[in-house]
Amino acid sequence: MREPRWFQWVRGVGLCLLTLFTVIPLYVMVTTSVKPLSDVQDTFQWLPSALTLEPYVDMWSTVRLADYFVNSAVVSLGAAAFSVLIALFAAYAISRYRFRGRDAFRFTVLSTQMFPGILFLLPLYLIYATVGQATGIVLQGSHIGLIITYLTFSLPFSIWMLVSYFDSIPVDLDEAAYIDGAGPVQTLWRVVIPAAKPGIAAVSIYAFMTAWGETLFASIMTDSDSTTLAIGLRDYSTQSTVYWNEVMSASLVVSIPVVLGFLALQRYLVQGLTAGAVK
Amino acid sequence: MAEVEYRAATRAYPSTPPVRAVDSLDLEIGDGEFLVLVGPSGSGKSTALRMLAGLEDVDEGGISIGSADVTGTPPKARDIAMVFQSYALYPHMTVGENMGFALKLRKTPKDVIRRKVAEAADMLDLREFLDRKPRALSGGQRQRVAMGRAIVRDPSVFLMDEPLSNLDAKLRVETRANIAALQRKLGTTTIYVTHDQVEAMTMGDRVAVLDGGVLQQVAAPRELYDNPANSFVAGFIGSPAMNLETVPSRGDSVLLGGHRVELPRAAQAAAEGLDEVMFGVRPEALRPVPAEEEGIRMDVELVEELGADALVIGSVDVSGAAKRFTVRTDGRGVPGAGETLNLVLRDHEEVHLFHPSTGQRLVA
Ligand SMILES: Nc1ncnc2c1ncn2[C@@H]1O[C@H](COP(=O)(O)OP(=O)(O)O)[C@@H](O)[C@H]1O
Ligand SMILES: [Mg+2]
Repeated sequence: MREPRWFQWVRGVGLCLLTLFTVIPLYVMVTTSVKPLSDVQDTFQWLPSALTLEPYVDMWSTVRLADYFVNSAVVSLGAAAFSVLIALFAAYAISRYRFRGRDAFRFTVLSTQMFPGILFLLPLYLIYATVGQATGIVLQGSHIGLIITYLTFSLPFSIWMLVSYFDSIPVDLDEAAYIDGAGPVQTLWRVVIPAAKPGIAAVSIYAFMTAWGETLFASIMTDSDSTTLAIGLRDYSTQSTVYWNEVMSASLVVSIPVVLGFLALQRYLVQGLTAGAVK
Repeated sequence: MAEVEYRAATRAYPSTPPVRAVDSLDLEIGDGEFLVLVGPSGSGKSTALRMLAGLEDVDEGGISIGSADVTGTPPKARDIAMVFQSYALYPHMTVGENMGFALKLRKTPKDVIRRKVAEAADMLDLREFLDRKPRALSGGQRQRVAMGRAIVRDPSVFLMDEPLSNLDAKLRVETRANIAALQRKLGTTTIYVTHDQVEAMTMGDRVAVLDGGVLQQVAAPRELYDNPANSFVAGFIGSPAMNLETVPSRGDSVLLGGHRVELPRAAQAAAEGLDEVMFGVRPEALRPVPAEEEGIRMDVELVEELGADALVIGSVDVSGAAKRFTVRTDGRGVPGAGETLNLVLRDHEEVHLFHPSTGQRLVA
């Protein structure tokens, strides 16, 4: 059946508008990042008056970008690593064992996803303060505190995702491993986890990105030594000036790890999303 | 001494009432024996096998392997190898790694593993595939890898759960012969589960028939065929199936297709006092006779030509109802559909009689 001409037009125009909508911010970001400071201080200009790579150099000295980078990396990698590790064991237990409270646990894990994060902000802060007073372990403002915070975000979803992934791996494989002489931990480690690589990759990226771009909790739970990138980018706006060109160059550089992570793991991600489609 | 022994072993799945998937199984399997567990789907074959493997709890009774009671022992301590219906090959390992995994877990030296894997691969024609992943293999090749994984271990017992059911018919027949030959060569005690009675009859030294979780009979294939212990075994073993109907009895003869079929002397005593018996006769034990001779009347409905012989299928009157009977005849000069045949027994003794309500065999 041929579509009427007007429909093709409407569709073409609609798709163009949609494309512009996503491309313009990207365009602004890239061009602004190569403008001299004078171009970004007054009214907005579509075209740079001159091209310069100075923002990419200066951005490291204007604010402590390198420190923020390290903070973000430590916190995000830490959150992703713990998320995957804990979720692996939790999901394996839920998928393979029938224990009392299994369904209640599953439901509780899921239900935490239904509340907006801000609800947890104050309670979490109070808990950290109390723990700090009682034990001397500093959780507010420390990397470990932030890692734990982000774990609470990413764990439930990670567990759910891995449970459904493990469910798609036939139990026969576990049983074959038992008979071949493996114990439960060896079975998980040498048979189930390798077979679940795509799911694990997907969960790692998810947990990493959740932490990398988070601003609300980071703005409360960090101090000047533990500031993460998402918060640190605000430092480019000072009382007198906003270094828009450096904000944009820094933003671009900050996105690189996420993009690289995606590229590295994308073949697993695609597999992960289609898991179970083919037996 | 028995290599494997089930002692009143029971698996009752928790539910209300509990499902006794395997019910008080008593079975001894000799050293080096090839025992086939056969039965219809859901009869508890897999459960019985998995109890022996340690993958399923034993709720009552016990199981031994060799001289050791293994009732509560985990699978890894039982020295068994299993071939799964799905093959359960590790997808991320090559064929060689799949086959050597059990040895690797036992910290066997690398060169020993390599040698044993190579030996098994030669036996199964897998040499050239050792570096491939399972997903790059055909169904038949995967099946052989699953076999290889079991062989490499040199276990005291092989367990196989319908290992041929995912192969096409031709390959199944071929592989059937290969497995049987391999087992004879290795001499490893083997328990083989199948729902296919032809597989059971052709492969097993002995065959154990299960129904509803209960062991019906265990015997050599010939014995099972000639002397089924009850009507279930009689109907299950043999292809085409035995003609088996409950017919009116007069003690010395039964009435079938308008004809009095005289019972063998031994059977007459057993059938005494019953006004009905379950009467069984195999398709090849019947013979058509010319129309003027007296016999069991059968209206032919269908003829299946098999080449050397033919199966004639038709209806026979049993107490006023038309029942389907099958007769195996010579392939030449078969009757056409719509004809009427008179049938007689080839051998007066070749009938099977069972109790009409318990189904137990009436004569030994
Ligand atoms: N996990 C289970 N829970 C409850 N009943 C089960 C379970 N597994 C098997 N069964 C029941 O046990 C019986 C035997 O199953 P199975 O041993 O798999 O039969 P087979 O291998 O002969 O086809 C079946 O009736 C089946 O429904
Ligand atoms: Mg089964």
